[in-house]
Amino acid sequence: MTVPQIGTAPAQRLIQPCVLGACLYAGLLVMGNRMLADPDTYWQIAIGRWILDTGSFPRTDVFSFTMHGQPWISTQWLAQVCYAVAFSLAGWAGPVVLAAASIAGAFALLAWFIGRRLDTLTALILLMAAIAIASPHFLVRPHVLAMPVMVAWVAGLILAADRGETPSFWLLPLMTLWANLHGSYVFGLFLIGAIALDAVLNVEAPARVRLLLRWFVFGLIALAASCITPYGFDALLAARNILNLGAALALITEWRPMNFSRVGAFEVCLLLGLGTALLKGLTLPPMRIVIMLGLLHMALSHVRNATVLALLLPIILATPLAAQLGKRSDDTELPLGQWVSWRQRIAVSAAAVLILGMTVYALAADRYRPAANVTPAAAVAILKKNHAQRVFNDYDFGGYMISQGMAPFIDGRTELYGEKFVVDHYAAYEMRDPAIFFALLERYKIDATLLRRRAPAAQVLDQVDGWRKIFIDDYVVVHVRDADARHSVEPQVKPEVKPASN
Amino acid sequence: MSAAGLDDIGHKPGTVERLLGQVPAWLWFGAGLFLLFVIGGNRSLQDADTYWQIVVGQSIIDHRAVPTVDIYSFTKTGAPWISSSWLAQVLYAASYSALGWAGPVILAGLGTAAAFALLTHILCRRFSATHALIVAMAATVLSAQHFVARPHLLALPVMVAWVSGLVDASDERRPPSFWLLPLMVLWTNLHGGFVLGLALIAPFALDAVWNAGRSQRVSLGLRWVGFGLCALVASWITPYGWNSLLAARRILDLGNAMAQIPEWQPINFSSIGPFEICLLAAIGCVLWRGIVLSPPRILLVLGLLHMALSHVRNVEVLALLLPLVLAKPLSVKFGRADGGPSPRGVTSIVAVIFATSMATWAFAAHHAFTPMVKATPAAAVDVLKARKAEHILHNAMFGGYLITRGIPVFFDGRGELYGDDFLVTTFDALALKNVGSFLNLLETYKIDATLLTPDTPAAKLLDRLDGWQRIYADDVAVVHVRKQAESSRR
Repeated sequence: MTVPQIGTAPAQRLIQPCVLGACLYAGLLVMGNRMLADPDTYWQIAIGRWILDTGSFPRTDVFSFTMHGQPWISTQWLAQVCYAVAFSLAGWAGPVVLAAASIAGAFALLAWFIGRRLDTLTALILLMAAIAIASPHFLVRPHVLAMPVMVAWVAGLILAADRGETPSFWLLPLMTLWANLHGSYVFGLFLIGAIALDAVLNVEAPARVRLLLRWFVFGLIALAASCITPYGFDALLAARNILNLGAALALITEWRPMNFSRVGAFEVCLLLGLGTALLKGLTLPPMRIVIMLGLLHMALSHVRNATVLALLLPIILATPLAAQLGKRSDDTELPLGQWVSWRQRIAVSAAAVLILGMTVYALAADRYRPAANVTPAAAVAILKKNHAQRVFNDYDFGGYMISQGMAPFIDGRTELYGEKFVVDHYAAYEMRDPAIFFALLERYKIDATLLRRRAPAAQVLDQVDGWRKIFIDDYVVVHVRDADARHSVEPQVKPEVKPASN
Repeated sequence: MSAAGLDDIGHKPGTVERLLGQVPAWLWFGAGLFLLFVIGGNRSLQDADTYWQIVVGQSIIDHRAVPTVDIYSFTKTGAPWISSSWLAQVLYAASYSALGWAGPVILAGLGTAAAFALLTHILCRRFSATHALIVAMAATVLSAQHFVARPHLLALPVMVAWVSGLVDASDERRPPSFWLLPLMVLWTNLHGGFVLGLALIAPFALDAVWNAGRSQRVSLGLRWVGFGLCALVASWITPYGWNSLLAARRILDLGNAMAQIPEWQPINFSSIGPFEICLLAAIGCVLWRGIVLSPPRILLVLGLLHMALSHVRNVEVLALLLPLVLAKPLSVKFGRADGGPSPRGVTSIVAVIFATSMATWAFAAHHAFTPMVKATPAAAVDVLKARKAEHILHNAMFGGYLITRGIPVFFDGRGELYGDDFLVTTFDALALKNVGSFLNLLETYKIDATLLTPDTPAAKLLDRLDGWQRIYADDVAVVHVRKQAESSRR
């Protein structure tokens, strides 16, 4: 392929990634509170803190009261520790800066990889599309720390496939890092197989078997590298638990299938991409088509995988597209020593100043706070004052409760709670079936509830004798068990737990 | 099936073979699809709307007048409502009174089979019969979930013929034939989807003008505009004049309520289905073979794809129209080498049609169709009638059956009559997304009984609600009524 010509002026090609990374970093810090809109951030930091404090890794649940002591391992421990350290150093600015730097790093790396292959305009369009698709998932959670690792890993594999070689063994530490940061490393292992086939198709027939064998060995070593975690092989099995959640996955926003009810970035990019392919008559090698359709299927079936598609598709398409849409124009006029022309110097120093300035501003201003709708602070304070021990809570409030040392009924660790528990909680909370709600209240001896103000369960509690509403604000309502309380809204609802009446 | 029929009417095997070779592919496909449709007829009778479509059609036949106000509900009685699919409703009602439930099944099957046979016929002009059949089968599988006996199936062949006329004109860089206009008149009286037919004139005009020589562009463009205006006028030839066009808009205004009506929901990719398989296969094919289209055609492809992604009911539009739009551009690369005419033997065509009719007749005579199993709460309605309940709150899917029983409904499938706010409020109330609005509905509309599916959250709450008691339950429906003492106290 055309790879040997690449890299004639590496310094020149660093400018676009630097500027893009700096701008993205600054943009993320400006809108930093958007990254804190996720309730899971609270418990991720709390678990990181727990690991730091106890010096051990969790093997059973110690946070909830419903699953206390059940086996549970934290495959994302390294990311949690990083966030916890950042939080203890700089408050909420710490995790925000860390996540922003990681996201910007991932996209800068992506820009560098495709910038070496494609002309500037095509690369820029692909990058903008990738940012637009991935941006809803820019949250302070472990997966963003795994983003640069994922980009580097796949870029390394694709580079080897383009050249018809085996991947460098220097990639293996990345796999170890990834396996400790986030469960998505399983996907990185799968990709070895798909990209190996692509590599094998790229070489002449006689060399194929040998190359396939070497990729196979690489795959085995990568599998071994992924087991270098505090949990060893168990981490790989834990990733499976999440995929086994079935019906419960459909209840978690980010695991829902792609929704096309409103025109969004994903649909626009999908249609424009298809349109461009039809306009220019673009073609791809067979295995690249297979990988692309696989990524597309993943993104369609689970909206969270759109981020994976956005980050990896440009890497996979870069070399085949370069042959058809126009390669990066040769800048051999700028040999290595001469790159310090004034424009480049200004661009790079501006990027550096921007990064530095924004970091200082972010750390000094201390204006980041998690979203109010996942932070029921006053309500939890009241619950603590009432000595509530067993609180039936909204799925989204579990994170904040853990951070306040209060055991939740449920939180974002869905794989701990399991399919039936999560589905039942949903049925109770959303009043799909009042019988399940009242049965859960009895079975877990609930003494208080912490629900969203508009939650159907909260509305029904107002109509039940034996529950008193003690707190309400814009987002949250708190009920406590109180034998003397009478229903405050007519008509009365009878909470008897009886064998299903139908 | 058909081959057996041929044997029945007494041809020698050698003759049969010769005759079979003369049957064109489109007829094979149409006859096969029709027979499958009739055999699986119960599937097409599972939509509750079929009930009220037939009732409305019958009332038009009886009174020789089309409705202008609602007479079926107690919530919107007297409110303006027009039935823009009146002709299809009349046809369904006539077929029902003639043949019972076999009538609507056969009628809907004819419409569907005609549309897909026509598609096959058009594709066979440019592609080998094998390729044409593969595409037609894929289109059938994609549309199959919407094969329910309702007006849109009768409009399908009209849609295919209309768009085929536009595509041919555009391919040949001429204005469409004015012989297409009667199709628009027929379509506008059959189903509200005619609005799409009008809207499609613009992109095809753009395509024709784009491909035409510079000198012809202005005159060609003007003639397409003329055709568009004539088509617009043709779409007013209904009992309601241009009100049909306005009524179609009211359905599209339903916005929030649409999100809760299954056929208006966006495509769901949670489990891999025919649509995703076809979409991925098509993208793979495009990238493998490097297919090039002209910009206006690309716009059409993307527009149809967007429609299908955002509303699952539009998948059939995509499935039927995309092959028409792509036929000419793709035939350059994949078209058949020989330009020979497709086989055409009048005797064999008649034989196949005769055999299909005989098979249908034999099947319909010995098979009782069971309509709307989940939407027919017959026993529960008997109970309600015995209690003389007047204001019944029920799921939308029970509205159709209640109308056939002459009971005023709370609401039913005529979304444009009830409006966005009313539908959303009622859906949220029955699903207990808002408990307060459910309790409000009970009081505001002086509900004295409810008729709900067993898994409706509201029905489960009523079991526990003071002042209400469950008096009947089966697999289809649960009935709750106000307790006597309670209602007298109020």
